[in-house]
Amino acid sequence: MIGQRFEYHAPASVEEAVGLLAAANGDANVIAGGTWVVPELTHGIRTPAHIIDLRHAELSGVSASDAGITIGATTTYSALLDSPLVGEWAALLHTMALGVTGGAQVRNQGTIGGSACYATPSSDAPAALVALDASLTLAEAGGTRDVRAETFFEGAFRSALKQGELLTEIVVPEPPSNVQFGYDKLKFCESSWPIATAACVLGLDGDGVVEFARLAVGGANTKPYVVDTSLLVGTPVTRDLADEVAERAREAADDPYTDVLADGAYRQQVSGVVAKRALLDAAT
Amino acid sequence: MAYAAVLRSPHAHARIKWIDTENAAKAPGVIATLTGEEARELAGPIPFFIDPAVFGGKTTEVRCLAVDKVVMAGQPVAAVVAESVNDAEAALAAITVDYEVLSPVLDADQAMSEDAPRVYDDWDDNVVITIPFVEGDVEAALDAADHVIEDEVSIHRLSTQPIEPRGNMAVWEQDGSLTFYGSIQNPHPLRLHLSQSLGIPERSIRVIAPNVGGGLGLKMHGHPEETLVCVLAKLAGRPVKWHEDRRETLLIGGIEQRHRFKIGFMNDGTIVALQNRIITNIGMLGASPGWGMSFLSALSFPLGYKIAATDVQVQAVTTNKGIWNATRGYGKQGTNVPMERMVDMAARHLGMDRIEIRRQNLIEAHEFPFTTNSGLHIDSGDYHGALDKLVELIDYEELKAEQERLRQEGRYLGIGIAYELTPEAADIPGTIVGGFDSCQVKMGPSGNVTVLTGVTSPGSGNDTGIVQIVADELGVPIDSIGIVQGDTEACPYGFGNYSGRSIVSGGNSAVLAARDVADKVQAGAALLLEAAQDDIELANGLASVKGAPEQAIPIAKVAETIYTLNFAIPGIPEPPLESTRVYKPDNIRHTPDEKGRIQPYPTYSFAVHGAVVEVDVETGRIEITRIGIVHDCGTMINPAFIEGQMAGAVVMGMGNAWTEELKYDEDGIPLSTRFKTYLMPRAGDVPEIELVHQVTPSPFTLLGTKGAGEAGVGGGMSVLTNAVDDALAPLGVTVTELPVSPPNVLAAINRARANGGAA
Ligand SMILES: Cc1cc2nc3c(=O)[nH]c(=O)nc-3n(C[C@H](O)[C@H](O)[C@H](O)COP(=O)(O)OP(=O)(O)OC[C@H]3O[C@@H](n4cnc5c(N)ncnc54)[C@H](O)[C@@H]3O)c2cc1C
Repeated sequence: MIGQRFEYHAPASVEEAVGLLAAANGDANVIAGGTWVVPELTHGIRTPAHIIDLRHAELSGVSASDAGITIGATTTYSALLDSPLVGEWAALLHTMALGVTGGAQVRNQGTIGGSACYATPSSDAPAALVALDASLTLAEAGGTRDVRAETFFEGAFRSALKQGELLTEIVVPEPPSNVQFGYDKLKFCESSWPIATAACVLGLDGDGVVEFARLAVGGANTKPYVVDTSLLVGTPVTRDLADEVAERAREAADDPYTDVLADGAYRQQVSGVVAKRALLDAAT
Repeated sequence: MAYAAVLRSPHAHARIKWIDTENAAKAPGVIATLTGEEARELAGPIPFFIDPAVFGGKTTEVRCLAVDKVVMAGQPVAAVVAESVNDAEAALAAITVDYEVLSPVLDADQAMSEDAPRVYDDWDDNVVITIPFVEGDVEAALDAADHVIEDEVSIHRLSTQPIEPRGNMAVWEQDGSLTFYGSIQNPHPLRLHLSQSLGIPERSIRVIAPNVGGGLGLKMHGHPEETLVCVLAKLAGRPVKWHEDRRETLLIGGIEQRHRFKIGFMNDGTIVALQNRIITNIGMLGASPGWGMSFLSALSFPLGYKIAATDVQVQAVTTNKGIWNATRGYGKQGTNVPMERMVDMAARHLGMDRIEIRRQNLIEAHEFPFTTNSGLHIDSGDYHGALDKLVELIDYEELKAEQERLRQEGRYLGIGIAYELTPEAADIPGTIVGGFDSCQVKMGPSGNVTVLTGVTSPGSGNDTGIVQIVADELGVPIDSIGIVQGDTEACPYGFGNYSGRSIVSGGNSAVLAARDVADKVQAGAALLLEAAQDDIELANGLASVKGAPEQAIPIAKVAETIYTLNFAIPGIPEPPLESTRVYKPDNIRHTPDEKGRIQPYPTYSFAVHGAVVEVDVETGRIEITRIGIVHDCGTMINPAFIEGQMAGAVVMGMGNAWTEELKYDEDGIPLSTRFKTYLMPRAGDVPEIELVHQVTPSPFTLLGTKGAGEAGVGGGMSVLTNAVDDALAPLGVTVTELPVSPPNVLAAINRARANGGAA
């Protein structure tokens, strides 16, 4: 039960939403699916005077554009799973969405934008967006700006979103035709948050030689990070190279996240494991 | 109706300097507010379900709202009643409490040190009770043993979480009587305790437990919120309801304990000595029966193993962690897990097969009934038969071969084996933990039957089981029988639900009552059919003459005749067709024997478990790939319910051992506050359960039934722990610490690798 009073708004457009946000002067909470916000309201962790519900602001849906594919901020995991465009161009997001727990309720309700904006290390979308080198469009009353996923995430529960700003869409650049994706997620059991995730985008030539590689790890550090994969370029992926990449992933986990489920030492140790597994998954 | 919300202490240990509820009283929708000082004027202390003082331990006064001092984070300090739950919860924020924060003591070992903060100011130390169970000369037996292992096993703090959290509602009638509705397990005993805490006669209280969405021990009473809603309803002048939030359910824990032991055994695997010092961390001492699990964890040693010399001692220690309540298994998992670890440790030390060492040490079928070192009188069993069935069920030899093959590939398969003993249907002298129970069977003129029982069902199906029993005895169709449970005004006196007792005590009392009614029906039928009463059979709704099935009369007709032609037909049995009977199981002995031991359990269910896991040694994550169980609870009334209970229990046990843990920060603030931080297993975490029944009836209960429902928790915990241990044996890991969560497993692997590995 939510123990405090607030005013509820359901803006019908981004303009209206950013206007409400500006007017609330920091005492507002945006909700998309509300799967994070509502439990926190119930627990009294958030006590905003205004709730701005984005579900009517026309921010949902997947479309193709010159830049790649554009995913509205309030697109749910179910909508990602149903989208042929995502399946074709960003299969990584399909795999990611498939692994979201909580069943149909959470997949139908939770949004990719909500996961990004909450910026918790225990979430699937962040590392996947970083691996895809996605760009996030942020809007405020004064205008919009684009931020690369890699810089959008600033720490545990911290993002580049400023007070008064909204995430409106996520643009995933169109990948080259020879791309292969890999994804690995470690969770303790069915009900567990993701503990560490790794997403890999690999370009291979006809002989399996790596042309380009991008590998991101989530959950290990307080924010997702890109692993140095330069040693892979120009050679096929081997177990030894994968172990080398794992080592680099582990070294890069220099600001490990700790929560009640797993401490920093654990996350650091498994960061290399998920990185290696995502790489090998992409390579096969 | 009005709704209550409870303000809980944000500190684990603090003195309450003052509380100001004035603003809350003025908040929207608020009807009444209450502080501990005020509540003390309106209600007395909450009676203990099991008072440690009865056993020579220390006790304390438990109030529905803290007065002066809080001793756990989450302890109720004030309450609000309002028009809606939202209003009530919102008003909590307007209450100001000035606390003087005291340093908490959270660890049981630390709590036992000389200079530890005292949880209760007037106690000399934090030890609630020390209970020894000594038999034979353990020092000498250890000296004589070929091998001695000295080690520790610790079990973390865990919890039980029924789907439906607790809920209470109090309605005061104009005549001053009280009706209490609650999601509770023991309506009659609660009535007594409410009368004591509220200071009104027992007869003025009616307690109703409607269908309950799971009990698991958590809903045994003594919680502050039972007395509290009654006081609030009085203050508000209308019915008040309180329904718990999951964060509140997760404040209540159990089991946390450490065993420091020496086990001595011979070259042939015979275990000859066990010395064990147990310390339980019971958190705040409350009136609910949780702390008593400490007693069981010690009493149940050495299960069904024949160990000549044992010296087991438990110390229950209070700390500023959350209160315990009963958790399904009621402390017996605190015996099963360490005992099964010890047996595996001995087997590994000797290079002996783990089935073999159990065969070597368990009581043999011909030795029952068997008196254990702690004085338990185990009614019956066939442990070796169950082990044989398990070996076949899981194809043990083939599994071992597969394990060897996978080890060559660098994969870590573990085969867990565990034996489990579950003493059931307890009667603890001097408490309202009763071992007997009652049943009333009433047949009306239509032949319909109403069954009223003193036992309640937490959703386990005992209501259906009891109806089946009555249908069998009376020979009437199941759909002609209704059952009423959980209403102190309607049902005969009984103790409700705990300790696997509902069929043992409730079912067997139903047999007795139904037989009385059947007797009268048979007498009536004999008269109407002009046959001898001994020749009348009751089946399929008919009373018929043995050997002459055409000579029959509907049972309903007999009932109608008895009720409507009682003056017309001389010699026809007198109405009503009703009987109320109590069933007191045999094999309970409360007079201490020459060693001062009592025997509080009539019957002992058991099981043997096999589980297969694969451990991901890079992450510590485990995959459970097989669960095989041979279960023996004596005579079965309804195997489907037993299978459901066993599946639930074993998965609960596995979750308890694996990812469920109530964690606290260094100030004693709970961190496991929802199902994303207290991780219970889901269907996808476990494979299909392979269950085989073995039936060794109890010679001491009427139908030969033993308890079902608790068995599986200790076994599930033990078998999973043993499986992980077995998987990691090649790395030199010995599992001594629960939970076997991925971080703990990986840490154990890291430690073993740092020590050079070597199995
Ligand atoms: C049972 C359960 C299981 C879950 N399992 C997973 C899982 O497996 N993996 C996983 O990653 N997550 C999981 N989650 C977490 C969560 O549901 C998802 O991460 C989801 O995507 C969050 O999206 P939302 O729209 O519901 O967020 P909301 O709760 O609506 O918002 C989250 C945060 O983002 C802000 N916000 C939302 N949208 C915007 C926007 N457009 N602009 C600016 N700020 C915004 C909100 O103010 C809030 O701070 C689970 C949750 C539950 C309850």
